[in-house]
Amino acid sequence: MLFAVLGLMLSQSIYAQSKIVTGTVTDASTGETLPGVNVIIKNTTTGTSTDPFGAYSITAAPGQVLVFSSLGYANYEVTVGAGNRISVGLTPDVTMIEDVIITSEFGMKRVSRSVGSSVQNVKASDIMESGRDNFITALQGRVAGMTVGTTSGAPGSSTSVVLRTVTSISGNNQPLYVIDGIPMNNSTFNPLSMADNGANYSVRTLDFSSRGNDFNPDDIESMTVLKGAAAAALYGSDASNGAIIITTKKGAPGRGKVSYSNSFRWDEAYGYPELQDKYTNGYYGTTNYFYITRFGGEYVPGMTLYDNIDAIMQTGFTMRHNVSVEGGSDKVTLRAAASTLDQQGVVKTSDFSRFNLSLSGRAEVTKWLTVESTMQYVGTENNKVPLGTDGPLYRAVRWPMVDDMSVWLDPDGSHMSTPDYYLDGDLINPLFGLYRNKLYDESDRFISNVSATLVPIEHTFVRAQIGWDTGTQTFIATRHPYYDTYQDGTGVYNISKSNFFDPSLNVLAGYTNDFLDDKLSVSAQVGYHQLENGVTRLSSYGSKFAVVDFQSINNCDPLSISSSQRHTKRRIQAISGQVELGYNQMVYLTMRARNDWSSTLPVENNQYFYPAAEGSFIFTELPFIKGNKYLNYFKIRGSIAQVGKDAGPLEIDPQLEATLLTGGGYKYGFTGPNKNLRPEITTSQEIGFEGRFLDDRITADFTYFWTHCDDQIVKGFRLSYGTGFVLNNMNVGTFETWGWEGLLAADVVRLGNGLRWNVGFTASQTDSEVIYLPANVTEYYNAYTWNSGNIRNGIMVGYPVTTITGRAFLRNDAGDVLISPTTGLPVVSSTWSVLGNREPKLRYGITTALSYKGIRLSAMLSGRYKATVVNGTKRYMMQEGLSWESVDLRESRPQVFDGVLQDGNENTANPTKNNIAVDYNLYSTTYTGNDEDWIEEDVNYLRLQELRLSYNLPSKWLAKTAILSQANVFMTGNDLAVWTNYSGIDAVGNTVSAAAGGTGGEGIDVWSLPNPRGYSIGLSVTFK
Amino acid sequence: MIKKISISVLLLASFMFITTSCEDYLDVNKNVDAPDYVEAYLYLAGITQQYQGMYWDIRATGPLTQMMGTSSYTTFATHYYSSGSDAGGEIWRVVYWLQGMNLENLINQSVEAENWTLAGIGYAMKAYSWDQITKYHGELILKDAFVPGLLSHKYDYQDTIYKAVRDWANLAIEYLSKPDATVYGTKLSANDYIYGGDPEKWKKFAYGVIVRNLASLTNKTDFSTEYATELLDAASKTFTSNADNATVRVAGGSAAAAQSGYNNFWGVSRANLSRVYWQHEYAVQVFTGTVPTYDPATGNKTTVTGNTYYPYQLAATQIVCDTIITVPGHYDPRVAVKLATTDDAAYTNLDNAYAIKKRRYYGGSFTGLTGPIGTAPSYYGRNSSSAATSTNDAAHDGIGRWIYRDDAPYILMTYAEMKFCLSEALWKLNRMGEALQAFKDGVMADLDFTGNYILTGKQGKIVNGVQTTLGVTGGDKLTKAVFTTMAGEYASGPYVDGLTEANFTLSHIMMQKWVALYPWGATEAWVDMRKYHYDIAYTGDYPASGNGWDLSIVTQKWDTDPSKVYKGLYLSPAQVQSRKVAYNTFNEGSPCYRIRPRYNSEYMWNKPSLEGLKPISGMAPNYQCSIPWFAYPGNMPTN
Repeated sequence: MLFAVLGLMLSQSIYAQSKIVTGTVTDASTGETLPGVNVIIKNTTTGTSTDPFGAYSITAAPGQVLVFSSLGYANYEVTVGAGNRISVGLTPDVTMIEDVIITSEFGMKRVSRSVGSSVQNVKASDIMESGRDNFITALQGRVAGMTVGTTSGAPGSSTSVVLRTVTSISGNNQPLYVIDGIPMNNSTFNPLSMADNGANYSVRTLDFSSRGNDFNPDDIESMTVLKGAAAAALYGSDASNGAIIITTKKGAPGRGKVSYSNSFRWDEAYGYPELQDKYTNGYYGTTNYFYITRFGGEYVPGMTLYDNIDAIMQTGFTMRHNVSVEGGSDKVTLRAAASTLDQQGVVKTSDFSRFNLSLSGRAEVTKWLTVESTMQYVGTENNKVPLGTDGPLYRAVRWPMVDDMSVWLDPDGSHMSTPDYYLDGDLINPLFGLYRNKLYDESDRFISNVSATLVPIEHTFVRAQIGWDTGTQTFIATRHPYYDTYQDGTGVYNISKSNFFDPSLNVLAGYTNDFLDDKLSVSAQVGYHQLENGVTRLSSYGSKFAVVDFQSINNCDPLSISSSQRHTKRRIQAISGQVELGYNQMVYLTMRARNDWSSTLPVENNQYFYPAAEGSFIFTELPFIKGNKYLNYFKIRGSIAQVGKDAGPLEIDPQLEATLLTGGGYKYGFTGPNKNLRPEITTSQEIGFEGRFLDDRITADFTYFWTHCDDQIVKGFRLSYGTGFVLNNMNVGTFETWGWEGLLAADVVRLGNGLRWNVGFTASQTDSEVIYLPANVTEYYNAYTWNSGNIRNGIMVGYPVTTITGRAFLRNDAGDVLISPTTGLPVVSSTWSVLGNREPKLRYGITTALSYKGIRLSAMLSGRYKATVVNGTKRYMMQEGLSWESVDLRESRPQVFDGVLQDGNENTANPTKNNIAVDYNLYSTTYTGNDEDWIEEDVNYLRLQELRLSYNLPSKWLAKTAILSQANVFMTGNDLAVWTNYSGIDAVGNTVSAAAGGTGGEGIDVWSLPNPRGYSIGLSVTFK
Repeated sequence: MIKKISISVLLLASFMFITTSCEDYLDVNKNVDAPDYVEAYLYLAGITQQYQGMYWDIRATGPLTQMMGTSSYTTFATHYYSSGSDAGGEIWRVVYWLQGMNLENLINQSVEAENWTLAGIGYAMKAYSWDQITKYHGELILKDAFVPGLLSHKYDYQDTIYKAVRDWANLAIEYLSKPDATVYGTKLSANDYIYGGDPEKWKKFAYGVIVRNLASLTNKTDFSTEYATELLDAASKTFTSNADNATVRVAGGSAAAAQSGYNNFWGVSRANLSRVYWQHEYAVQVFTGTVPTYDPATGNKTTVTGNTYYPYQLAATQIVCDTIITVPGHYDPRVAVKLATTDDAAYTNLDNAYAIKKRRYYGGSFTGLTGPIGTAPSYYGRNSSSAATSTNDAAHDGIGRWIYRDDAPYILMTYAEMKFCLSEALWKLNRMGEALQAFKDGVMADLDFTGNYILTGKQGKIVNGVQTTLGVTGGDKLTKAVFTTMAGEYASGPYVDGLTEANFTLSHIMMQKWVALYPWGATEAWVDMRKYHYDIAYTGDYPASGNGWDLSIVTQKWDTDPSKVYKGLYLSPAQVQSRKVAYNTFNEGSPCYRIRPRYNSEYMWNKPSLEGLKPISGMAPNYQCSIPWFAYPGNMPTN
């Protein structure tokens, strides 16, 4: 009582001396600023909370105690002293599994409980621990509902990321990458843009790196994955597939820190199909090395057979070094970092190198003005290998086993060696290609941004961000004149210089305050946005090399040289608004809207408005549940959002092309103009919950979503030439997708002595259905996925967008395969029908970690359940008699195909059962299976992506050293094992590069180069 | 406070300077590397050169008219079609896409700018193209063509399209007759590769299209009442000499051309006539006057022993020429130019008329190089694939010969053809004297035309006193001079000038027209053959199922039948020796009457429209046998 009176008197008496105290609240472990932290003067009702940038301002007197509290962090108390500034770092509550602050659009922070859609944070440490060289592949298996596809296991391969499911039949389906509030270019160069117009290379033979892979993973502080359109609504159309929000490290206040880390990895190729070594080249059981196919006689005993796959492989070696320096005061922090990556792939001559240099920092210029900036330079160089049936693997397996392919150069030092025995000149030695052709790209890039935040008056802010993402890229693809059948090529030289310039600007103004006894929180903001995607490309092509072994455009016949240039610019202007209302930290409602004006649409149709709403309700804030030991946190959430999408640049009026006929002049190309393009609209909805149970030992998160993609601008679809054109860009596609994703993690063991074993499980399932295509468009497909027989990624009304179509067997009404009465072989339809769905029934990931004191053992697995995969690899092997299956078939003669004869009785009550035996010779040479035979259903697949053991050296040891404050050593294994019932090379193989867009070629395996097995060791140290 | 706010405003303003006005900022969707709009004349050369696409489709109509045999387009040679393939669909691609909107833009922009000459040229070409495509495919997308936003394109029937063709031709004539105030400079002369912008010649061209269009209707029952007058009128205003011929000049000339498309499609360097197409045995029979006789009882030819070149008894009446080479006027010298022979490989007797006449010609069968007598050579006169050069200096084909040459123009329409059209119309009107005169004019015109494109080859070197093929560089195996001499003899001989009204038959007109069209006008020749129903004893019905022909054989008129137009023409199947095979069962016994529309346009993306076509649905397996309106004698059945 006395104390209370004293306190009251004290506060009364101090009132006169009170002053304004300001400061910033950060996460002590990361240095990230924390918004929404309650700052209360102890034992009073006076309080405030930090603004979206972690800053606060409160009137208090010396001697009073400020209490900083925020969910997920331990409370922190500071007594007001003589100074006017108190900045604190809050320590995360170790029992909390999920961060509670998320970074949303434009680098704004939101309290996660207020978010009505599914978001997931990925920690920097997860990226580092993945052992991957780029942050995109590191995400695979870590985020529920996120699929990361790589085109091949070669260094510098393109990656395609899909959050939940595709939202575009023909366009981009990747999420938006955002760095510190500014969009990052993640384009993948399409070889069709070269000056030879795809005559020599396409998305299925050549794959260039995705620009997103440039970013230095070591610079990432944290990542937030905004899965639905609702969460990313303020970013507009580019984020209609969700967004991956990256916050970079900007240095932490306090004592300066120098850190160094490295890793060394050895990669080993595996998973290639076994080649039969019983029968030699030939036909009809007769040895004849004039044939590539291996239907000849048996190899002569004692003959040396060579492993020619081995000849193209090597042990890959990758080395990474990162150095960073950071430090600063509570007002100014700075971080500088450099990182190098040098990689040699598992295929000879393939390599990749990357150099990153970054500088970032934050400064509180005045109490009301904070400036942040990040700048990163990236330089990459990449020597590639071709893909698929152009690739070294396919060419190696076709090389006669009786010849040592590793001797690839003719003794004349210039020509390609030809195999012994084999008399024809139509085989190409892939090693000659690897050493003599150049498939190369290099880039120099700057990603920079500056943002300034002002707090002109209390509870308000103005924030302006400006960003540049700009880069120059060079792509070279050449073919040596002798790298051709009969070595009679004339040489191919392609060089493209492609520069991009993506400036963007966001200006936001906001108001945040609490009312009704701090129970009602109100936050509102309006924004103006502007962005540009500029591309400048100059491509040259030449052939007819003057000197065969010299590769340059200058070495080409001047008459053969052609060039083309292309400049495109897309610009968007937008205004946005958002109001977030919260009550008692229990109920939240957020309304958001954005209106865009796009340069890519006809002026009459160039603006589109899209609203979004989301809400959440935290049950555990209800008074009668709050504090329950078993149910620590439970939130239900829901959201609905509409997102408009514009077209690509120059899609209204296609450019006229020079006629390559006498007299020249101009003509239209394949694609017609469309003056009536409209923005397409995607509506996405989701509901879900998240919760923590049993003293926070169990975490669960579940989302169900469905989207309706209406009026899609479908590019390059075919109609009658009556349109005047071959291809059209029109608003014609409508489809729906739906599915769920879930996450369950538990501390199975959590002991007081620090032993902790955590197991996490993520799973997702999606489905889709095409609702509308024009009646005459029976099927929309990407021609480059048409890569194994007649199988392709056909999109048909009533079926999922991930459908595989092909020419099925003809069947009678009872479903029996019809057999030709003349040949005894199954009859194949002349039209395309649905053969399967590439989307697995379930995608899942398992993470587990066991930690005890400084030791941590972790593993990550990712899997697919019941997928349908096209085994184009085995099809080739069967056609050419390379597989053991083909041996089994020729030896198990004769074959009688199961089915009924197409003799007119097939649909009667008594169809004629097929009894025509087909000779093995016939089988092996003329019947190699049809589309249906090469579809593998119910493929299960589980890959051990990561296995890692790390050890933090005890600080008492380090204390004895003069220089180290932290040290960690680790061993990691990547892609160590795959368990699958799939019989081809890679069940997750993708037959086209990410540049193909649309639904891509995942699940179509045609000589994929799978990810190699990698073993790495490394250490990371922080100096005193 | 004021400072804060002013700095905020300043900061905002400094960002805003980037933004100019909204409209300007967004106005960047303009192509800066290539135009999306050009002046009309810049489309002209491209549209004109696209006519080379017609030669693509001769790969189908050549075999169908028995001008060519092929091992490539075999389905057409056997009167079927290539399922799931765009083969035979080039004119579709040309009319709807390659000329397509380019031509529409040319016309519309010219009319708007009152550039009447250019607009007239545009309409004339449009009329020509659509005349060709409807004769080839029958029903077409006309009213729905080029309409923006349509997702399905309905077909219009051929009578409508025929009328549209003549309307466009008449519109062309109207525009070309208008005073045109535009100063074109070299815009027309430099971009018009047909007439160099001469409106008078284009007017004749437009009349020519009308003639061609109406000439296909001569076997309709209402020809004399409905169409004959218009035809005769147009024929009087069209081409008056070979100088008026419509040909498309090309800039190429050899494999060294900057673009492959600069060379003629039939030139050596593009290798399209490279031994998978060859002269048909029927062409050899017609050109050399060796149409055989058949025993009506067995359908067999009568073997003549001791003559390896003519091992069969020949028909008593030959239409174009006969085998007498010692008497002037019996030999048609066009055979030495239009057909190929391997004789005189060393190009020795380039101006020796007798030696030239003695050369032997062999034709292949429908799908095989070897015919009943010998093996067909390549179009360049060798028993091997075409070769532009040869490293060992052995014989090669150089740039080709006659109109099978890298630098030959494409032939669209000739004076001779006009005369034969006129002759046929007059013959139908029973104006025999005039018909005979027009016939003679036509043959003379074609002789002249044929001689114009001769490129005399180079004689082989003599090594050690022996004539060799070394140094032969392809070309024609005769000189223009010797051709002219022989042509003069032929013109005054029994088959042309010596022909009297008493002996003059429709066969003379149509078979000489067929020779004149060989092989560049195969599509027009096919019009005539279909119009006369391949000389099948046609009932006149348009059966809903099949065309009344027997599944296993097509019974054709014997050559002795006076009503048989193409003497010696027998389909495969027919009742004669080596033709006794059957069509694909889906044909239901009928020969081919039209080429199906382009597969990857219509059969993939416009099926519902094809489905509704009558009397035979476009989706029916025998749609290729559906008789088009022009060839059907009466009114089309309505169901």
